[in-house]
Amino acid sequence: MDDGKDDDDMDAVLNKNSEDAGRRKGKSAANKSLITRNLRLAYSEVQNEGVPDHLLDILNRIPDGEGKKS
Amino acid sequence: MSNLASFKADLIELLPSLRAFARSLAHNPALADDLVQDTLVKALANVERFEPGTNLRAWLFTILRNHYYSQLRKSKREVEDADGKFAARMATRPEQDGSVDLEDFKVAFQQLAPDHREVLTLVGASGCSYEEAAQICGCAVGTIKSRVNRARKKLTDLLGLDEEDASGLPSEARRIEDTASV
Repeated sequence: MDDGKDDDDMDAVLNKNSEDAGRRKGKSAANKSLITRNLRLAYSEVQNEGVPDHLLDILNRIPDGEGKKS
Repeated sequence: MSNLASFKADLIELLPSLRAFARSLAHNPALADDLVQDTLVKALANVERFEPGTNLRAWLFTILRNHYYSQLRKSKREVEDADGKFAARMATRPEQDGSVDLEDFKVAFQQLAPDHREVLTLVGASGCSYEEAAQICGCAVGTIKSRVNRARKKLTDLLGLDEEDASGLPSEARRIEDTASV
């Protein structure tokens, strides 16, 4: 009778599938986190550069005292 | 403070974010700042169309991305990796220790399609909600979500982060297996 052995084999396969699924999920979460971290690093790097004067000059042409009609 | 002065102050505050978003699209710093400059000029020319109290960031980002795609269509100047820098850098694959050099990341990021770069930047870096990103990109929230997933998957592949699947086989062996089963 191989029933017991078959059950053990089936358990082993199920356990492996479960471990594999867990590992895939963990890896996916780690990759997602790594991408987000680098996206934010790259983004904040530009944000912290300081704004070039020629861009500020465009905005400084806007008069401060004149109200926009709303 | 007048509405116009308040508008100006808000624009100045948003400039760093606007530049960062432009850089994610245009990559080249000079081109990105040209985009920002054109965006500011357009915003000022259309200031009467902006409704005070609504989302100025979304309004500006929308102007910028529309202008970017318009320029892209006209010039078709974005020829990826024209000087071979990407190939040279990526000849050495990133470390597989769960970290990626930021410069390698940027190089891989630039290989993504513009619509993938923009959604990853909007949702992943700028702090936009899916709804805000959908408003900026002029599409449905579901479209943004699926685009983010596809972009993330593509970037994962470009970075070589998905080297081993559940079978324990390295990706090269997996490709051979996949091919064999076709």
